[in-house]
Amino acid sequence: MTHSQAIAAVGPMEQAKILVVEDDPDIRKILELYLGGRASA
Amino acid sequence: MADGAPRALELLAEEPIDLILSDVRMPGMSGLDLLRHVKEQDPEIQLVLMSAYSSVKDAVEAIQLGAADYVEKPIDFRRLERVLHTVLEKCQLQHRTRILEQRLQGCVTFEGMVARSQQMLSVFAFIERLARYPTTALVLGESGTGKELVARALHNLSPLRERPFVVCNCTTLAPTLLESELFGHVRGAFTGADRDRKGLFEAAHGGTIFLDEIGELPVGVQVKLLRVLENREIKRIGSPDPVHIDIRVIAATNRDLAEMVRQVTFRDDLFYRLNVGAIHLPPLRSRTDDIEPLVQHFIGIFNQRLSRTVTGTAPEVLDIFVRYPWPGNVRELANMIERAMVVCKSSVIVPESLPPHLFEVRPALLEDEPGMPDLSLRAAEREQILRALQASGGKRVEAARRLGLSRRTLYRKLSRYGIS
Repeated sequence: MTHSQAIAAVGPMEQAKILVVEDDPDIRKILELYLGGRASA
Repeated sequence: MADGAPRALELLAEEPIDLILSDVRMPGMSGLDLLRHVKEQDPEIQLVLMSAYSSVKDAVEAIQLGAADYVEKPIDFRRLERVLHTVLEKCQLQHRTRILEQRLQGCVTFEGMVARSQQMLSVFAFIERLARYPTTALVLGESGTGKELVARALHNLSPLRERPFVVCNCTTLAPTLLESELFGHVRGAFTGADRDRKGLFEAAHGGTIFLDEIGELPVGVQVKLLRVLENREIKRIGSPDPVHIDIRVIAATNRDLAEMVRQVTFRDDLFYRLNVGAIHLPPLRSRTDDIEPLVQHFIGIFNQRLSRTVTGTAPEVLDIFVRYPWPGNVRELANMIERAMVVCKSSVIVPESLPPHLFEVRPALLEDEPGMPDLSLRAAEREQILRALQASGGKRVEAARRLGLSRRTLYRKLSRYGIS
């Protein structure tokens, strides 16, 4: 099972994990707040 | 969260990720390079790129490399939300498609028949073996189990596949007409026989004749059929001259021929002649593993026929299907799917699309007391709930009202009794 299969098998879209890749710490912080629980740690 | 592409690749190796939202211009490795690496590792991970230096060239290259979408900085969060929603929804659909494909891979499509159960896979294997020989075959099974499909499979897989395949339903004609239909007649053989006419046996010469509902064959015609099988020749009605025929006979019935032999309503010598290659088709209720692939199979057929885009059934519908005894077997299931697809407005078949009698399922008999119904209060309550659901056309709110229960209590009881 691939990564995306594993996470998609868990359930609905709200549980999907999103990884933000951004070198600007301010934008990273804004996106972290915006995505909330969906953001990968 | 990653401050650059190298860290993102490390995180990807550590935890499952559905979607990457990445800047394009970053020191070290760009977002486009990250996209290339990720797609090589796992093509199913979706990437959405974002850049303050938006250009058509970057966007086109990103999409060509497999990016799901591209957003500009400063970020419009409403657009970003739409993009994420669309991309993740696509992920989910892909996942569901994959599951359906895997489920379908677990079943076999054989000459128009679909099955997953070991019983039917054994039947398919036997058909393949039997088809190679010109042996007489007898297909036994309840109405709607697919006896004619088996007969056609035996013909299509045989060396006679390019020759005629002639079907005769022994119940559709009066006995006198049936005899004429099978053996043909010569001019003047009876009133109205104004010319010579070939029968179905002659029409099938060199190929296969399928005699459906052989249990209904009048005794007089049984004798003549036995002669055909033994001598490979027929006589047209009214003619003393035998005509040689080279045919394979496949017969089918939903009757218990052995019992009919005991009751002397079916000739024992004909039964033994026909019973050379017997194929028993199990009823659908004894092979519930096949229900799911059959449902998908018929949804595909009726999607095309009805111009619908139904994707499947709600899980509780499959539960209902598995519990229902299907007296009309696969034919009844096909009719049920067609009816439900006509009735339902959604993209999946829901319980409300099913006729009420499907909800009327008797409680299971106690295993240690075969034949004895379960008389416990628990069984009675379960039965009453099923009746209420039936009377309400599957609508739980309405069923709860009829039972005098709150919706929450009904849901709890449904769960306790395993009613979906």
